Amino acid sequence: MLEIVYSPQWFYGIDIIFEFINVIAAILIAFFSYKVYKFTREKRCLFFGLSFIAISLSFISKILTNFQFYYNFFRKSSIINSALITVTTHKSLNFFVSAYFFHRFFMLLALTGLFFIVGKYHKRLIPLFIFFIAVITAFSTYEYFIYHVTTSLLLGYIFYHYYANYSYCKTKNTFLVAFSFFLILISQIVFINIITGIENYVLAQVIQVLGYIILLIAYIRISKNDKKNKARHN
Amino acid sequence: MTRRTKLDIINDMLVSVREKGGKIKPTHLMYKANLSYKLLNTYLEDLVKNEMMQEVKGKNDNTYLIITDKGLEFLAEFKKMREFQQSFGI
Repeated sequence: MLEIVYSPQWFYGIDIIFEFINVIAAILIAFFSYKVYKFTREKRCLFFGLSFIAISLSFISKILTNFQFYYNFFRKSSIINSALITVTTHKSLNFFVSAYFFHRFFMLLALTGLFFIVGKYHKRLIPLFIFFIAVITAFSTYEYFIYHVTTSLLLGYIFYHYYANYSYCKTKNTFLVAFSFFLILISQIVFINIITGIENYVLAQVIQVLGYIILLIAYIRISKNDKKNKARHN
Repeated sequence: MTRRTKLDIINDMLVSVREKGGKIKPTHLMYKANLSYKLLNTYLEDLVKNEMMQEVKGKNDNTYLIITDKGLEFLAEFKKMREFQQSFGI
C-alpha cells in the first residue's frame, strides 16, 4: 500500500514551516556557491551550488505535496458532497506520487552530487550513480524506508568527509558544517524509524531543521566575516 | 603541496603589499610573494591594468607599488570565498 503522509495531525503545517527554513538555507548556500564559482571559475563550486539547488527543489516538492494534502484534509472535513471528495482525492493521489517522486529524486541527486564533490571521487562513476538514483527513487515510492536508508548511507559518507575536514582544519565554521551534516544524518535515521511510532516524524523533522539552521549559521558567519573585513579596510 | 592558482598568486602579492603598510618595492614583492622576475612582471601588469595596484615614484626616483581600494576589496572577497570553500570542503 502507498502511504504518503506520516505526520501526526497536530503537526500538520508546522513541518511546512520547517521545510521552508530548509529551502531558505539551501538557496542561500547555493547562491553563495555560485558567487564563488563566478569569482574563482572552479567547477566544483558550480556543482556544489547545483547540489544545494536540488536540495531546495526537493523540499519545495515536499512542501507542495504536504500543502495539497493538508488543504484537502481540512476541506474534506467541511465538504459533504462525497462525489467531489472522490474526484479530488483521485487527482491528488497522482499529484502526491509525482511530487514525492521529485522530492526523493532531487534529494538523492543532491546528496550524490555532494558525495562526489566533498569526497573528490572519480567522475566516471557518476552515470552509474545516476542510474542507481533513478532505480532507488522508483522503488522508494512504494517502500518508504529504502529512500531514507539510501540518504543515510550517502549522508554517512558526506559526514565522514566533513569530520575529516574538521580534523584537518579545526575552525568554528568547519565544526558547524560537520555538526549540521551529522544532525541531518541522524534525522534520516530517525525517519527510518517512523514505522515504530509516528512521533518519530516530528523528532526527525526537528533534528533536520536544526541541521539546516546550523548550516545557515555557518553561512551567516562567513558572510559577516566579509563585512568585518570591509569595515576594517575603510 | 598543491600548486598555487592564479588567484592565489594575486592574493599573495596583494597580501605582501598590505603587510608592508600598503607600499612596497618591486624586488621586495618578488621575494615576499615567492615569484620569479618573469612571473612578477606578468602578474603586475594584470594587477595594474585591473586597478588593484598602482606604480608610483618615490624618493631617489625609486619605483614603488601601492595597493588600491580595489585591491583591498579583492583581498576581502578572496578571504571570504576561500573560507567558504574550506568550511564546506570544496
